[in-house]
Amino acid sequence: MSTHIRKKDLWSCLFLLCFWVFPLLYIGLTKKEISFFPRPLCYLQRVAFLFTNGIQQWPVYYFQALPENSEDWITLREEEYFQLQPFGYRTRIYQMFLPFVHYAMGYESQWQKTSLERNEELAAWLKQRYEAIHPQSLRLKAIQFVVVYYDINENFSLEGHWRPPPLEFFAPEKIKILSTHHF
Amino acid sequence: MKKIKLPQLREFFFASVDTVRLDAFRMCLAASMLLYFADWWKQGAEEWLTTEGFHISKEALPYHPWYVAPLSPEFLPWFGMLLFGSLTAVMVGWQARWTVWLALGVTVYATLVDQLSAFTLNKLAIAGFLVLALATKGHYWSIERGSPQKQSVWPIRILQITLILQYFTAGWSKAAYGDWLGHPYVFWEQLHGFYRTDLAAWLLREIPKPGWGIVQWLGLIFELLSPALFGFPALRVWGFMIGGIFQILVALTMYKLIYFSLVMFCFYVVFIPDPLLHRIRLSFRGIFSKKKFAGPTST
Repeated sequence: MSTHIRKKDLWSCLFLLCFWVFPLLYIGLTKKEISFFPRPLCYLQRVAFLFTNGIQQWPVYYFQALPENSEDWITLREEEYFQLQPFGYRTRIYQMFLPFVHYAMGYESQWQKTSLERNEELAAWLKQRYEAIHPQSLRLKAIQFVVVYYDINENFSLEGHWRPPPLEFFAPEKIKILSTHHF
Repeated sequence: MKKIKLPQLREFFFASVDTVRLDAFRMCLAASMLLYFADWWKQGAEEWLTTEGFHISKEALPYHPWYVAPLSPEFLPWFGMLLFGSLTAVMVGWQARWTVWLALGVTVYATLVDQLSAFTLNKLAIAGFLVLALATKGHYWSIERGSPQKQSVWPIRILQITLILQYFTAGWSKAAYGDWLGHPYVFWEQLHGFYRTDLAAWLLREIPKPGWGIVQWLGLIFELLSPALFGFPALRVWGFMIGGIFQILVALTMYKLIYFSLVMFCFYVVFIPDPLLHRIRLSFRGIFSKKKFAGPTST
């Protein structure tokens, strides 16, 4: 029995085979983008690289602010600025900082190239928001982002769901500055 | 419409089939995305979609340079109506041929407006809605009355291939580009971090470490064997059982990944035989009013 094929079905099927199925397979197997495809399209077709590597040290990020007339950094309460938790007990800003996500997905070059610009934009936004939320407080002269690598083999809490410890929990030598932004 | 003939493989891609599988997929995908977006909305719609939240400029985007401007806060209620209205319409099959394009548009917008909160789930949903936009008939699982129709099987094939490739390339990337072959405790380590739910914490305390190595191997073998498990009808029941356990484990141990599992389960629907889907549909019809669901009582 012959099957009659409508033109719309044929072209729709070919379109999805060429622009969805083939790239899904190619990118998934090679971890490379298709050079002649637009980058946003390759981004949409990159669905394979999930949980590919072990993580013995989980990064915990903190935002710190330096008020005018002060030499002491204050640690900002992240929940005052970010509420949305897209997958996992972490804010969306974590996704911006996490190196292993970008390395696993093959975005390290684009991510590294623009990471300082992103941090500067975030610092400027945090300063503006801080001064709007705390109008009585001193204005800020700097914002910095710090990270602590929380080793799962060292004193790691497994009580309940993930809760990042306060910065004071960690020894000072474990705290690393990602970037500092002066205004 | 003018019809053309092709000589080979046409039965596989273009045989005429009942629309029940694609309609069931449409209903499930729209319902899953409705739940997912409702959760994001409840957590912080302004942060996510509007200029009130922090959004990266075009020059500093981390993944691709396609910049989509966030909404002005006063447009948020209108966008919400469009987002939830279109998804609800697609879910209940109201004017599905047209409303699915709206659902596709709002999903693309919500994915591109914030690269920090869009994940694999969004990409799979975009592909799913695109297939539906090009092919949906919207007869079963619909509030509209109409007569049963046939359609070409290619949308079902594209969705089936998508599920198989998603699993297989995920396994391949773990084995070829990740640590999974050389390090038996990748999954154990991944569960320690910020995905960890209360249940995951309890399991990590109770299950000895070597047990996690076995879980990891089973997961990897399932993903790599998924073309056989879902491709051969005789093995499909195993694919459903192992895959079901796999997705439920992910949903229970990793916070918010229940939405990822829900969308993955939507793709399982297109592997279910038509008679079983009709039986399920008729069971639902028995629960709800007969007026709400159109279509024949038997096939």
